[in-house]
Amino acid sequence: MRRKVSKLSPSRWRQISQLVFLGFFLFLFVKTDYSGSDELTWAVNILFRIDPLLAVTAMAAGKTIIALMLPAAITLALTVLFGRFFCGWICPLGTLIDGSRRLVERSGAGRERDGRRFKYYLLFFLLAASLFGLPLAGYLDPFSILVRGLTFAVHPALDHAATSFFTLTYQHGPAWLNIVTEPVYAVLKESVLPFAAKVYGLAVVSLLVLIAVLGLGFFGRRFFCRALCPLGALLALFSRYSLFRLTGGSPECAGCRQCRTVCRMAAIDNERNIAAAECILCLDCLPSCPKSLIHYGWGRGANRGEAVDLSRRAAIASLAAGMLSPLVLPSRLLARHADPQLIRPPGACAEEEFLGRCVRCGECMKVCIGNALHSTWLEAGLEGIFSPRLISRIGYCEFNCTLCGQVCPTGAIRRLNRQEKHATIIGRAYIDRNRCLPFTDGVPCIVCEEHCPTPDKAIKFREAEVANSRGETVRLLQPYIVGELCIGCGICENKCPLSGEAAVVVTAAGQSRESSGTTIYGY
Amino acid sequence: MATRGSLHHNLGQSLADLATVIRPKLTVVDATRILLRNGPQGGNVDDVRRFDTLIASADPVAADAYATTLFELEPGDIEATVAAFEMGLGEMDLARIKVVTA
Repeated sequence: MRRKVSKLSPSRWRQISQLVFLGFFLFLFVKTDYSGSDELTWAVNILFRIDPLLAVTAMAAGKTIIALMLPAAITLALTVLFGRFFCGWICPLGTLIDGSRRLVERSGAGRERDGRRFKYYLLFFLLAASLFGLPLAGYLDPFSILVRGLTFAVHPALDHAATSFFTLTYQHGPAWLNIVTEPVYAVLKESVLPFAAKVYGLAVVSLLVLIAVLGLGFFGRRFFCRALCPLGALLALFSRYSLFRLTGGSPECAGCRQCRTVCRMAAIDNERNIAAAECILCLDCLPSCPKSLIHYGWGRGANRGEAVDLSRRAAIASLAAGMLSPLVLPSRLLARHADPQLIRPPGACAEEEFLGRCVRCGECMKVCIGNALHSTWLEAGLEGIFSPRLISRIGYCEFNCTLCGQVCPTGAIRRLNRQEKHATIIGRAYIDRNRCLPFTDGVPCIVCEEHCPTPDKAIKFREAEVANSRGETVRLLQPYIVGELCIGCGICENKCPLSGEAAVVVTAAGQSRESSGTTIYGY
Repeated sequence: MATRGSLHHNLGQSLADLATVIRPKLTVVDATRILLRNGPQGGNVDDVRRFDTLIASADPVAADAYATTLFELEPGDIEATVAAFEMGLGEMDLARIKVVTA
């Protein structure tokens, strides 16, 4: 009876690994948040640092080695050794795609084989475009898609659901119910819910992109991974030569092609060869083989399987498109005059390098305690979508906070210490005298000056005698900005008591990351 | 519900009005450190003076009036104190306030 200790099937081990890594990912995701301390210990940027697609494209765009992203080399090395296990065993988006399969898959969905080559063309395009000045990899990277969708939409929605529910029980439930629900809510707030309820730019768009990626399963299992994922394509270029691999049926096998039927990646051809480039080692084919001919092991000299038949013409065309499309960028308006409303986080590199390094993971926006950072739409051009910008009317940059630079996986936002942060100019404020109360209505108001956080306040007063709206002469204080002292944190614009547009407005003029910003007036 | 903006118009009177809605039984002023200039946000450490003092009173106006003296000001300089005194919410005349030091 001792044999009852049942052996787990190989694909069960793979599922356990997927769940463990999904759990680890979600743990890091929840930890990527302010928790009362100025320093973050855990953040989901660890996962971005092992992502070779983002490492290669960010380094190509910046024409530099980014030390923060070097752990990605480990992923590549392990892929050369063991194959594309990353996609099948680790990738949290892959796990969610597998998990949502029964919800979305069309019955009788085919294993589209032709689509597989498209991800390579996409990869070639992204690599060439990054190198030549059009960084777009963050739009399609699986981690970025996942973290954006979760940060901007799913997590806030969960928070809203929990808060609504527990507010209902608190306000209308009987006392005995609250003895149960209140501690549960406290535990949830402490563990999985965000530190504060926030709003996010492009929340719906990010959610739709994530849903679309999961929904692509309609066309077949792992459709995104098989046909689109550029990270998968990059790993496939390496796993093609992997030392360990699955070897499948030989000409002597019965030719039942069960393995071919179960393969989610369409990696097995008619002759039962398993393509190491496409195989993500899900191991579903192992138990499917009636003769148990499929095994994982040292694969030198074994049949590499049919490589995806890339058209040389299409491959060259993708590379050429990536090289040529950046050529249209210098003829845009923003090449001559950047949007002055576009204020980047403190520590951001100069614009071109910033966009080259930014992987659009949204972590800076997730940790921003002022809820000031939001996704850019087209203000920074086609290549700037989902990159962070400060919207002062929504939130302001907390003077002593350095969290965005701590979580940025690529150094697009440099890690600043507190002294550096205090000296980093992200923009400058000006006062709109047509709206400011002490100027227009003769109403005393000192709110912006009160909030100004610089040790020597950047907002000061001139005493003035003006007529108010009733024609009475009043003495009051009228604010003005001292350009040398203002760092553009935006708290004045945020706290301005006027409804609608503020009477004190921050623009990117004078920001210290651009060389033209070295003088106060920009000239 | 008053908005933050509307409460800040005529701030001294608004603060005094608040004390008629929520009537304080005990008013405690924490004067361990006080900020003399450039408040309430940020400012400079040089603007902070350390007093290590706690003021407590059953009369909220008296507590405020005494606290005013730490800033080298007179109770009459503070709009909210004057407004509350005029509404009969407490005493602001320092001569009529008994200060017990513990």
